[in-house]
Amino acid sequence: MRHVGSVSAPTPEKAHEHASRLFGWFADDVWVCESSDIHRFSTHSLGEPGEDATPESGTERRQHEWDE
Amino acid sequence: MISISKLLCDLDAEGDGLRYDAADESKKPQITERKQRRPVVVWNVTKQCNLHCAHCYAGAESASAPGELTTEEGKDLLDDLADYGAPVVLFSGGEPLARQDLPELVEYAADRGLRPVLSTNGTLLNRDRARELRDAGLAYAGVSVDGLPERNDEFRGKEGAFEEAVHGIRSCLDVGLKTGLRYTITRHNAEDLEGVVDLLSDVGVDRFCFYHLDYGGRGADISDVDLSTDERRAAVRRLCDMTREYRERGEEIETLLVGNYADAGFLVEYAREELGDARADSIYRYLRRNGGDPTGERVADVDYQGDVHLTQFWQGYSLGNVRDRSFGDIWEDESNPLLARLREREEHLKGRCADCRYLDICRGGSRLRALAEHDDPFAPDPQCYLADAERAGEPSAPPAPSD
Repeated sequence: MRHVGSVSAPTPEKAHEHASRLFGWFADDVWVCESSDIHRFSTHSLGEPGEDATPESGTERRQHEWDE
Repeated sequence: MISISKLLCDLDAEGDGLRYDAADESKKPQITERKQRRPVVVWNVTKQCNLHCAHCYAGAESASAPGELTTEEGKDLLDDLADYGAPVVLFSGGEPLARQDLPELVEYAADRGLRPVLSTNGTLLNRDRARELRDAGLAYAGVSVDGLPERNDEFRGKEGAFEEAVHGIRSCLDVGLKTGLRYTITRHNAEDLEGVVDLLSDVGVDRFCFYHLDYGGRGADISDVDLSTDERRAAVRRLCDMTREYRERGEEIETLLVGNYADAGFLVEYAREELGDARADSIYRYLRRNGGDPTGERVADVDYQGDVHLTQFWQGYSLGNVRDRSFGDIWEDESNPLLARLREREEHLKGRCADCRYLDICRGGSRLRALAEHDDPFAPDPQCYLADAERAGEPSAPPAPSD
């Protein structure tokens, strides 16, 4: 499985159609997930350092965290 | 971006080195001495805008959107871009002047060695703001006008927008800030084109950028008013003729075409017909150095919330976010199959593009329009207006010894 970015669309169905048009030639299956359902962690920081966060399922320290 | 005035009239410009690797032969101070290796980055600093233009690729709205990069985040982004070697950052929007920290960001970009330029609707510019931006290091302001007053105002959704934009242009020129026009050609305003150039050249504008409509944001909603093939040929031919007429009168205007690299093939054909084979071959070589459509290579976009896009027009798809990874990491990550394939698109283009003699100076034109029209990012650009006879055959010019 490979993460290949994000698409903007008014509905999940439209998002899947859009992503399939972009990557259907490459992938057997294209999965999309609503960005509001994703909690993202990153070691990269931009601007003032964000709140430190540690993923519940891991021990690696992260610098930046926010909900989409 | 293709300079008609450079290619047809030998008018030197600051972008000759950047665009054609032709800094040595240009009399103008150059943005860069070497052809760009890194992308010009458009940064949509906000989604907020005081106008509501029919063709807005960013889908700008009157209210600000959540998630905008803060001033500090913006400065870190500019550090990121400078470290990566981006030559130019184009502050865009929404309307970038809606952000009160714009001069601070411009100054920071200039201090970091980026060339800060601005894309604005001009209506919020006055002499004080223009001076503040000039003093911050702004190198250029491109002001959007899309027709003579009545048509422009209808297109931009505000009565009086034309006069306000002209006031903004005058304010920039008054304080010595280099200023140009941005004009998106559609069926609605093609006939105003010459009138706007005449009017604004009298005001003192000497740089005119003409954009073909791309099918992103609200631009996708008005593809039905896009020019037909014949209308597009006529409009581009008129721009070529007009540029030469100005030159013959001793007036120098810089004219550029943006957003449709079928223009490259057309310019070679035009030059062969009007100026002879030697000039046509020379233009071909310039355009080959320019490298064709820049999507995913020589132009990049970062939107107001940090999402990185293949061009400013293609905001519906993002490669990644600068809050997650550095811009350079995102841009260099060719494990993304779309990005990798776009960078070798000559091998994957289909239909009329696949065997076109101008493939190496056009590179298929807009992949976004191909996607919008054919659901396939490697299908032909629906805006290609070259005739079959023009596309047939071998590339038109042999390599010059210096190539």
